[in-house]
Amino acid sequence: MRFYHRPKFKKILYGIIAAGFIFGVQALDRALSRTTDYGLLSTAAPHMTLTIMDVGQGDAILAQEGDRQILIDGGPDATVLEKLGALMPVGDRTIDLVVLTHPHADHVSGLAQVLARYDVQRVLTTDVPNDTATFFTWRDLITEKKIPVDRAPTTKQEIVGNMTYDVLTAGTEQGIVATDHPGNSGGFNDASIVGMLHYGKEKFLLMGDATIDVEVSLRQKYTDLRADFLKIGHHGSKYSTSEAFLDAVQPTYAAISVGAKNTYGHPAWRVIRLLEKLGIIAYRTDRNGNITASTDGDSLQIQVEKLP
Amino acid sequence: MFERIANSPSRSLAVISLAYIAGLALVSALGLMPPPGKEHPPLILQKFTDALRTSITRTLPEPHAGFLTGLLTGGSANVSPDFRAALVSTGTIHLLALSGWNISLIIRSFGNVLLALPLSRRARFTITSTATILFVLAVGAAPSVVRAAIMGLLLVIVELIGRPRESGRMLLVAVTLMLVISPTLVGDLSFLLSVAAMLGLIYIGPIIKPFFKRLPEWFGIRENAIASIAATFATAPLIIFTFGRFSFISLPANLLLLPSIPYAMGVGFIGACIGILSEALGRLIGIATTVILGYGIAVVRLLARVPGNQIIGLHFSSAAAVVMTLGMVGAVVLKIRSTKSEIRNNIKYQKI
Repeated sequence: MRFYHRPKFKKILYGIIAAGFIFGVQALDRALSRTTDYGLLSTAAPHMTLTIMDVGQGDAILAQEGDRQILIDGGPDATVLEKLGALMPVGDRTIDLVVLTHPHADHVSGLAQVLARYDVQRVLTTDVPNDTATFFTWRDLITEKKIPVDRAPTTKQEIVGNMTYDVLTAGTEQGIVATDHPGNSGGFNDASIVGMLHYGKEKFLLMGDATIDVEVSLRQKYTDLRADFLKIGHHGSKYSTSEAFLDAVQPTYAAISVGAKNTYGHPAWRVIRLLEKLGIIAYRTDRNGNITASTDGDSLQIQVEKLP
Repeated sequence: MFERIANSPSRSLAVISLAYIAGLALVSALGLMPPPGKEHPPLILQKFTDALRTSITRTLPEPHAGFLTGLLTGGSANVSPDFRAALVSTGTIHLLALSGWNISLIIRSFGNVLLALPLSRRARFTITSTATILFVLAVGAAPSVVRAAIMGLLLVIVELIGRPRESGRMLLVAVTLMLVISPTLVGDLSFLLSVAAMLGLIYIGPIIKPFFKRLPEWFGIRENAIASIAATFATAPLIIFTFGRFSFISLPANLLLLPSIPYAMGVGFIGACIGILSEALGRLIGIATTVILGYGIAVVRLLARVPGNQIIGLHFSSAAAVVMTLGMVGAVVLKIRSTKSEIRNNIKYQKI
């Protein structure tokens, strides 16, 4: 009897075919949805990626280097969980740092879900609290799970792997007291942690929901605000992103995290036209899906899920 | 009828199974089950189910966690709207409905584990059935779940006996019992669908079986193919009539997906149980679960992407549905008749 007629060999062969099929189908699915993924087989990513995740009307940003992550905001609902499932390596249930820029629901709701499901090593939050149910859920989970909390602006810098997250401004530093304006400008939005993420020579400026007031004080405080990649403040609203500020940052790429057909009218026409005028390549999560910037520390590459 | 059952080799099996089904029906009839909307199952079991759900969310990423929770405890509430839409358009949402098929799968895989132990057939069946009842209580014992459990047990019995006559009779007894207990079921869609699917398995299954002889048996591919096609045929008139949709992709989706489901449920359940005790170990097994479930999720997403995979907005009159059903029943009856006469002729030839 030849070896390939033996039942044992056949069993092994069928097993290999089945395994190949199982992995093949998943690889095809990932290729078609253009999800950045390191997969089960590769050991470590050679570079770092920053993904503005498409979570609808809200913010959720994942910075990942191999199996080390910084998650900045969590979006308005549980959508972020599925995004994390696709982006994080299989079997990785630990997030090194979770940042809550400011305590509005479209930033904190998804984070509460993340805290409940993942092992979060450390939390960085602005020192201005909110008094909503979602915020209490988030705060109680931190207490319950005994997660160490750093508060900006007292904490100035966080380091995860080779990624450095610098707090440029936050919370009470902006003169925010514990009251929110029920409007679009100022209030808790200006309590946002504005962070500069460094990886090698590359810099990412993440604005949270900060408005033009914050931009002005940033320009006064820092002489060098330049960054290759800018996460536009406050979902591209008309109260954020002045021309003077863009001149100071000089980004090559900009990303707007915004939900399709949102009731706030985000992003504003003024902001879109301004980006066009300055020749900044802009992406929007409502049209492009996940926006992924990958870098080896020297150069930047942008990948999007879909082209409008 | 009783004489026939009494004389059949599977006598004890049939008697025990009927007793169990009657028992389950009794549980629901005596009001041991909570009224709809107010579910208060035994505390320990419910706690276990809750712990299982938490363990799944702590050890698996999304959408895997939601999918597994749906498979094991029913319900599509844990799945994101996007993924649910993909499941609907590929005709695989039934996996999350804790249907008779779903429960039969649980029973069957449990039975396979017991096969390794030195037990008599009867003992094995008793243990599996008891486990089924415990499972039903653990997930909340809603009337639909109890009915699904009865159907699931029936499915396993049908497979064990493998003869349409006795299985058909048992289905008749079970359906009659359920209708006597709650006559309003006549208009219940999920009940009608599961009865139609059962009829398909019992009567259409054996007819299409010869066409699948060349299909490999591994991973239950052949068995699943026959069952899916039989059930698709039998439920098609009802589905088109009520939902006005017909999914072309449903059959290939189910054929590709179903073989992986028992493994996903098995490994996922073990991983979740271990995850209750030790999260780190649960996560390790969770990697295997993620890969197996990931296959099913990828199949659903890929096929949902195929353009024009379903017709929506079909208008199907009740008369057309009746004609379609009658045609199917007629075909089955004719086929059985011709098979019978063939057998009779064969016997005659043998005598000569």
